[in-house]
Amino acid sequence: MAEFLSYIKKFITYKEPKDIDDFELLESEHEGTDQDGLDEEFQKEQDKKSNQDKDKDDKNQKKKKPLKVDEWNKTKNKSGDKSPQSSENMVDPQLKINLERIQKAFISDKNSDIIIRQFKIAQKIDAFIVFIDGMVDRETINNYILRQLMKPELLENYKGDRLVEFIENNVLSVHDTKKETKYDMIIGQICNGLTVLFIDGCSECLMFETRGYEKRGVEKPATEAVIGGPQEGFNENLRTNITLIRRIVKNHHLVTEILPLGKTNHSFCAVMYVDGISNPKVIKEVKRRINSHDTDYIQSGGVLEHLIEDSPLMLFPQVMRTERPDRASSFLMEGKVVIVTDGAPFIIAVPATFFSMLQTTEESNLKWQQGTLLKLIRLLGLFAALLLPGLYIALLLYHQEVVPSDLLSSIAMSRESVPFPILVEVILMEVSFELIREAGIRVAGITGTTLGMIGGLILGQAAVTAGIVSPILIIVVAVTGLGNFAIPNYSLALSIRISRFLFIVLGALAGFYGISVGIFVLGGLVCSMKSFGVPFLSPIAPKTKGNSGLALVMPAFSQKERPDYLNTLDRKKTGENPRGWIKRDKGGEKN
Amino acid sequence: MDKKRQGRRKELIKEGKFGPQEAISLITITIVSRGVFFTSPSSLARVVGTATWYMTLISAATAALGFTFVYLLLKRFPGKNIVEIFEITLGRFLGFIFSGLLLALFLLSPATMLREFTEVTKVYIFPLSPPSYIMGFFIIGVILLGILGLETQARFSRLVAPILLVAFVAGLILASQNYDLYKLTPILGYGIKRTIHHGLTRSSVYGYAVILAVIASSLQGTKHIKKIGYISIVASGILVSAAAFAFTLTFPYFTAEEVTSPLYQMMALIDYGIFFQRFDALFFFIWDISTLIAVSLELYIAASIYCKMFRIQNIKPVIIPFSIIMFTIAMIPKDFGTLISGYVNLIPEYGWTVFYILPIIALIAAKLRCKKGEGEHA
Repeated sequence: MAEFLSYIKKFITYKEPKDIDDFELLESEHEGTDQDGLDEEFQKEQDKKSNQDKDKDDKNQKKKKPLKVDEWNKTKNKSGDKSPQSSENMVDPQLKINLERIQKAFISDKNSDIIIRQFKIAQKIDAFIVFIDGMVDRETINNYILRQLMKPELLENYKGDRLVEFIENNVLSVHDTKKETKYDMIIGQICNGLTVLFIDGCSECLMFETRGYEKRGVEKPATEAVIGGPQEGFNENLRTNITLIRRIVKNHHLVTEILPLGKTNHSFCAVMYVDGISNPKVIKEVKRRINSHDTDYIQSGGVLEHLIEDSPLMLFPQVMRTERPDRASSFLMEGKVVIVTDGAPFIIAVPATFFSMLQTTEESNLKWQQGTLLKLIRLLGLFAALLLPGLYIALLLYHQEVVPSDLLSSIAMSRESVPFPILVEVILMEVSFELIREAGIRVAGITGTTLGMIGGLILGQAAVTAGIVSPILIIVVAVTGLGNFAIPNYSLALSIRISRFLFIVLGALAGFYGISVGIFVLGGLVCSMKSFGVPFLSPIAPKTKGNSGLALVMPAFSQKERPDYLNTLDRKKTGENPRGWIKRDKGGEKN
Repeated sequence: MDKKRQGRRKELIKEGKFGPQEAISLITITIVSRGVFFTSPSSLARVVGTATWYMTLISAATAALGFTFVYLLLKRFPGKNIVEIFEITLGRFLGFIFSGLLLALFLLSPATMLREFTEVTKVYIFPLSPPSYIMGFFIIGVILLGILGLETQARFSRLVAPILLVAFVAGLILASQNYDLYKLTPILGYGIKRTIHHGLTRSSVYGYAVILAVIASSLQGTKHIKKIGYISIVASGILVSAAAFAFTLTFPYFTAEEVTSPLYQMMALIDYGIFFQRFDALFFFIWDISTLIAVSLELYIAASIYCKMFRIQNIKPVIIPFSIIMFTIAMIPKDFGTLISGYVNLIPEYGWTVFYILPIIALIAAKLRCKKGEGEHA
């Protein structure tokens, strides 16, 4: 609320604009040419920029007043505490000190989840392992770590130097190990289910991949069902989700970068892209936005979405969410960047456009004519969901001349017993419908579906019988609801639901005139939106090359290029003749 | 202005960049909505009778010629907008006055259009609503799009342009049931001399292509401006002529000059049985959205000229005051009659003096004073 008020204040008052460079994905000078070396050039540009920033900072620092000795000491001590290179943050050769630090970090006297197991390596050297109970696979720890480390003959071939390396290379049969010296990394990894071994006299520790917590299996997607396509969806596990994508995109240039999320939560997200296809500027911008957030805890992909989207005050979503690995894979191959967050069964794909939110994988699995029909129906659904109740009000209040007289008289007769003005009647029905829908979602399983159907039927019937609403309004609200369900993107569908109320009010205030002003305002707002530098209404406004965009679904063999608005490094998706079995002569004629 | 002073100039407002398709949509919608939707067709019928449909083509050809001078001026100063060019060629004082005249025209133009729209809406749809109620809705949209900027306006017009075009053409085709060829006669209207005279003087309707000179830095070079300008004038010429042809076929010329908005009336006459009749209310959508685009653009251009004249870098705070000024000007005419006789015909008849004569003077001054731009990316 406070943010909203400050936005209003900013809107009314005037402030000299700051010189902020908004991220825009503009066409480079290399447009359509060989794109090799673009990365290097971009890097140089960024370096130059950061050097300029540095110079600016230096200048600012020069202007600062000199600090007093006490202040300087305080600042130094403060920064010393946080520094990743300070001795406090590094593994100490004395095991006792490390033990105390771990106990302190995890409050082990109260925290019953944290297991610190002290033992002697080969009955000689003091050591301990630390892990969180329930997050690890006990069998791995018991059989492949502890058992191996406690063997008396373990150190027979040990020559007395670099014990950690000796153990890593010769003793432990765990598939993934890593040496680490910094506490902030160690603590983060313990929280993620890794086991860490500290050894007396060693200034580094060894981390093992022992994650073995409970997780949901790969199931059917709950919100993006298709008839003729793969039937698996993401779950809440980061690694599983990455694997599901990798299983489809078997490309050695597919890169997965793991980035930390949350200051105190130690969770991670994965940024995935196909090197050589995705635009490096977009990749860099995605990483910059994720790395620069300052939040303790990011609950899910939705919260991350709030933090990284271009205009959080806008109603419409600016990132694409999907729970289908095949969809995520097609985004990657198109040149988009995919963000997989730990704990969310959805992935985020950027940049997103309005028209990509109206697409499903169904179209690509069907013949193009059938796909086009589905897309047109969806557009019709969008139109109905957004405008139908508003148009109904406008027609009955201001433009009765458009309605044929027979229909008008039947509407008038059905409204005869209704005591409310038409605006109240429509809002009443819309709110009831929203309630039924929300209740149906919150109640789990079959009960929810039944509640939705029974609620709709009984409430509608009862409302008509009681003379509270007219039967024709029930039809209008039902068609509106169906239209809303036809929108494949849940977040977009919600935005449309909210916008519908605006059009209802505008229709009541000024009929078609009000609605057209509403279309103008909403259209303008949507046109001004960008997703990671890409205009939200691409490829229609602005018009870019390739991709039919709005209504048509082209056959796979004619989709030769990746979307122009993504400015991908590799523009071509196919060769000149994707259907190679049809031989073509030089003029392009079939043989 | 010498090179040193040019170098010291502050960076002007950021208006964004957009492509030819967006620019063509913007200009064409602006011209067509002014030339077709309101009282303009009946005014034309009043002066040239049945010759409106080809008189408007003469106007378009004249405007294309006038635009050539604007283009030549822009070509001489690549990367500069017309306000800067006026200053470079005529000096700070005279350039300021020229830009001021352009500003006055672009402030008066949306104000008259807004009032005209309000009055026509009152006649056909909201007879009981006060003008300020109708204007209030309109101005909210205009302010918002003005604040969102030129790039957004261009994108929005590109988005709706195909829909508007299809609806417009469909409207003309559906209205064909009322066309009678004999209504085209007398084919020369009130005489060829009168037609040519009015064709030349009323070319200012197409003069809005000069907007391209104000937003030159947002377009992709002078070559594109040339293409955009000519295509916009030709496309709007065809559309306005088609509409004029259609209403000449629908109404006898003596009736056409009495109708407030002939095109709206044409849509109201469509009748294909009980379920397909009275398309006027549906036509209102394209009418309204086109007018909103045109008024938003013209107001933005006025604000943009003002900012460029006074070296103001942020256009957003100027939009709301300019909207209030526009509203105030729009409220000045006492009634619809005063509006049509005193204001609406002012710009189509005399606008060319500002649209073309000022750039021609600047071009001559540039030639005489040997002023030139610094190259394509100057």
